[in-house]
Amino acid sequence: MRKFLLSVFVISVFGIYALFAKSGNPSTVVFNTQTNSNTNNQLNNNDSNTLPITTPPSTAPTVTEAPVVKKVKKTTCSWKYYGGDDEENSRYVCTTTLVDTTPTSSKTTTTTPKPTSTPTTPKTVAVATPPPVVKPKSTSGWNDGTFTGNSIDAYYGYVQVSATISGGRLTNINFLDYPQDRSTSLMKSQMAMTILKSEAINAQSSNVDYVSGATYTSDAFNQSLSSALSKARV
Amino acid sequence: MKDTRLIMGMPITVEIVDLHVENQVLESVFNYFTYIDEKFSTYKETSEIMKINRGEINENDYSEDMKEIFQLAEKTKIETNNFFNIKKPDGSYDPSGIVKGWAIQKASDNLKNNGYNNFCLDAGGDIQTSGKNSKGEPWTIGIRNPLNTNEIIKIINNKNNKGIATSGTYIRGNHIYNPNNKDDILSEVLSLTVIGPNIYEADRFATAAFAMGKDGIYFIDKLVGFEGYMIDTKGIATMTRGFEEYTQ
Repeated sequence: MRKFLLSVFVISVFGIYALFAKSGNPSTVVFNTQTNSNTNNQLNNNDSNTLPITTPPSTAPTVTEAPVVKKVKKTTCSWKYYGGDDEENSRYVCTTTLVDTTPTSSKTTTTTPKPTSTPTTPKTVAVATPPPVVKPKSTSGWNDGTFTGNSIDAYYGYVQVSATISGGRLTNINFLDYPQDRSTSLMKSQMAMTILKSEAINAQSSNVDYVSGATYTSDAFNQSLSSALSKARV
Repeated sequence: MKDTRLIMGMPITVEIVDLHVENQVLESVFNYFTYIDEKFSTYKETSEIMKINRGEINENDYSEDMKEIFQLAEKTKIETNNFFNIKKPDGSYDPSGIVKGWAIQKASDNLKNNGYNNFCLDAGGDIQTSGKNSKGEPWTIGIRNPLNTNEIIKIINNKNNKGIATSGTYIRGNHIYNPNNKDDILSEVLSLTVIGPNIYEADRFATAAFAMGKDGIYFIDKLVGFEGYMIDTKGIATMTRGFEEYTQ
């Protein structure tokens, strides 16, 4: 009986969905569609990994064709979003402008720094979205630089992070190692469209006997990160 | 009687509420987990699994426990359309995705065989209960909020003493923010809690289904005798059709 009622429910929800879809208002029914944006995300993260905070990247081509006169080199960097849904359309762009004394001849070179990812840093976390803040001296108690944390056993594998401090702020965390025993390929074609109930999660009373949750990895993460940060302390 | 130890890189809690429990009983459960760790840990050079990976042991000479794990891993591999695989790309074996739930199950069976009926075993958030808690009521199990680990966001009334396992990683939960737009959180699964006939079943399917990403909850939904609760990075949970029967 329960299964019959469920089927009736599923069929009628599908019907309602079809109707809504026809009337051009499909957003009232949420399907859990698969959006695998890992690759894009990673590309993007890699960009953030190479954030040049105050100086132009060393890969920036030097402009040689500029005319003779006195010139001033100006570099500005910012996140540029070229529209569309694709994150790949976002780039951290540095523009180098050579301004010389005669206002007519100025030359502009635009460079996008290439991600300098190494095979040992497969995942990157941008902790904050750092606007290029220029701080001459660290007053925060943190030394600028990248600090590698300890490698911590998380049972399913080791977790090791490095923390990057720029301008006295934690701007980036790299995962040098993380548990990878799980397969990452996907089995999309096997999955039929069943509608499952969704809800926003909501804090409950903590009056329970035991708690189920995957915490071991986060503990390892915290340990590795705090050991990295302790090395960054002034 | 209740105690917690750090074994296999995670806290393991044993609580037995039956009367006349000797301290020794808890000790024997912890000893069992230590024994399992020494046999199956891929981080201990002296473990049997590492000897196998170095080609030092013939298949015929595997211990009974090892043979059983290899059989169960093969079975799970088939049942999950190759999603579960203890063989790594480099050809070595890492059975950690199945050993934990299996070990909890064995420890639970052992306690029952020795006449204990009211207890709870918790190894790193994977839980098997039996009987009633110290108040004589059904054991209650909270699901941890992966976005705020101090918070519980669901309470399972485990009156039928099912096995409850959660797969998830903090890491998955943190590289998903779009660095260009803090508000743009990409869809990813943070955690998947599975209720199964026992902890061995719950754990192996939680591991496999978690690896399926957003499809994992649909996989669990199709399994008879299993329910699941999946939480994504937006704080939205998706549940299988029978899940709510366990929260009443």
